[in-house]
Amino acid sequence: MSLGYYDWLVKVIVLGDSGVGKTNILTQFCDSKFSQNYTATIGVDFKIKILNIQDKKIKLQIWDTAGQERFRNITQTYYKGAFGIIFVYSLIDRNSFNNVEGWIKSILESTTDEVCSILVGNKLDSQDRRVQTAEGEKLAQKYNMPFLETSALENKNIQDIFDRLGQNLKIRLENEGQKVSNNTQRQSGQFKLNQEANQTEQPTSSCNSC
Amino acid sequence: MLNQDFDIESLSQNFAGISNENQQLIKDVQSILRNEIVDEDGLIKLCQQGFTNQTNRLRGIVWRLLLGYFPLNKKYWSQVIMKNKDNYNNIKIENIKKAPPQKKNDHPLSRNTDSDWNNHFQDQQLWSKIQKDVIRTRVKELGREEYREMLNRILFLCCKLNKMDYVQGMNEFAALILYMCMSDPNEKLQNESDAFYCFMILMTSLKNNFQLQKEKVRAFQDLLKKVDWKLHDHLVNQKMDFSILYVKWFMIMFAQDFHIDDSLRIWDCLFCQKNNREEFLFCLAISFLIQLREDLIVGDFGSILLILQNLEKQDINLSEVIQRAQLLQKEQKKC
Repeated sequence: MSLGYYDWLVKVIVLGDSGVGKTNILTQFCDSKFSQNYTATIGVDFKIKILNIQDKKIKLQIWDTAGQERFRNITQTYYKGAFGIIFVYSLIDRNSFNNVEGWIKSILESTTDEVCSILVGNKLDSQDRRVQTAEGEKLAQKYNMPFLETSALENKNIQDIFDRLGQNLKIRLENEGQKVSNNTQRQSGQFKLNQEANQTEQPTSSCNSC
Repeated sequence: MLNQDFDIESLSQNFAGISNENQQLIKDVQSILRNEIVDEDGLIKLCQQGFTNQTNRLRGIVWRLLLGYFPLNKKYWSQVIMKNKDNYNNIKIENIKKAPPQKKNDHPLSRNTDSDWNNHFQDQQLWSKIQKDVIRTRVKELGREEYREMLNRILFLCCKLNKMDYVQGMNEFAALILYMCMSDPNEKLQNESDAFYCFMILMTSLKNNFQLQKEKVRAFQDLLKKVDWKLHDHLVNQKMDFSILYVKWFMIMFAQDFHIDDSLRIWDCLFCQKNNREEFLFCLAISFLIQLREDLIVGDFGSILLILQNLEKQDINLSEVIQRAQLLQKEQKKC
């Protein structure tokens, strides 16, 4: 099930309250569909997608997490090593917006390195908006991350989430790559991302030798 | 007077399109049910392969019996249904309320635990938390508004009466049970109150189910190692996290991610296990892994996970998986 050549392998996680549309965003992005048959994510789900950013291919290993607090101790296991984070709230659910900072703080505790984040307000298709665009922008500014409003239902701005995130990932990864080659004596473990990104040199092939 | 005779005879009507083997199974179960006191062990022996769409007419009675909702003495069944219909109606009236009446010393912003207003708002919160999941639970089978309302009520009342928080996953359990009731060919068994009480019984038996129990993840991994060390080692080498499987398979008991007929069939088998449910779940999980062995053993981390979280899309012969699981279970007992 090889997905072919890639330059970097990056772990991305998607966080946000229950029911804001995390899974739908990913299904739209990875499988190009809006599934009417969707269910609440219990624990974590996993998807893979190759993202083309200019001349580079970034293989995204995307972890879709349960929004419900009860599963926090399970989902938190997957925070480790994440290099990209998508924070999602629902434009029609005020609480989900209020809780975004809680999500941001929860992951800052688990990742020490700088990660690439993006803030997403989903359900742009709905008439019943409870969070204004300016509020989302302000929050994104506070944490220095890009911001988008999207509709997974209508496939609006979904690709943009990953393009924006991908641009930033590429810049960081290229910088980290330089740091590594400038400091060859340093252990790669010091760069958390390199546990994943190190595989740059060994393009993927499915393991047939077992 | 209550009708004391619970209809067993209609089980063997409409045999068109049903294989001889399945007709026989239905008749065998029927003859056990004809006795005044049901022979539970005999019933379990007949039903432990689970029901297919040719035999699922048996499910309603068998689940009620194995869950302990129906007593083994058949003459009480009609009574149980009638009595619980009334009980459930009362519970609904008592617990699902509109805004409280005006009272002295109470107001909408009160935080007193005995404040009607405070309780009312907490109820509303619980209700809408559940609703978020109900609208995305088994949409194909339970998407109709009336079913959604039933599901919402069942979950809400169960949480409220047990003073427990709603946990995702409970929606999947309640959905299977509600569907079992509402799709029963016997009209007498199509009712929300039975679904509610069966669900309550199930939840009581699952008290610690919604916690990640590391020692159980470990035990599962050890069992796999014992049964198929090559597959085990490969999964470990690929850094497969067994707690993901624990959540999907043991916590949720295969109630999600499967076609509803398959989930129900797995639950038929599960309820036949009485006190060995967990042991059986372990063996079933390993049986699934073995079924997919060819693909898993050449997979890397990503492809392994993609296979395991999309079991519905894999080419799986469920009868085979169940039989292997039962065989495994027997072997484990011997050692």
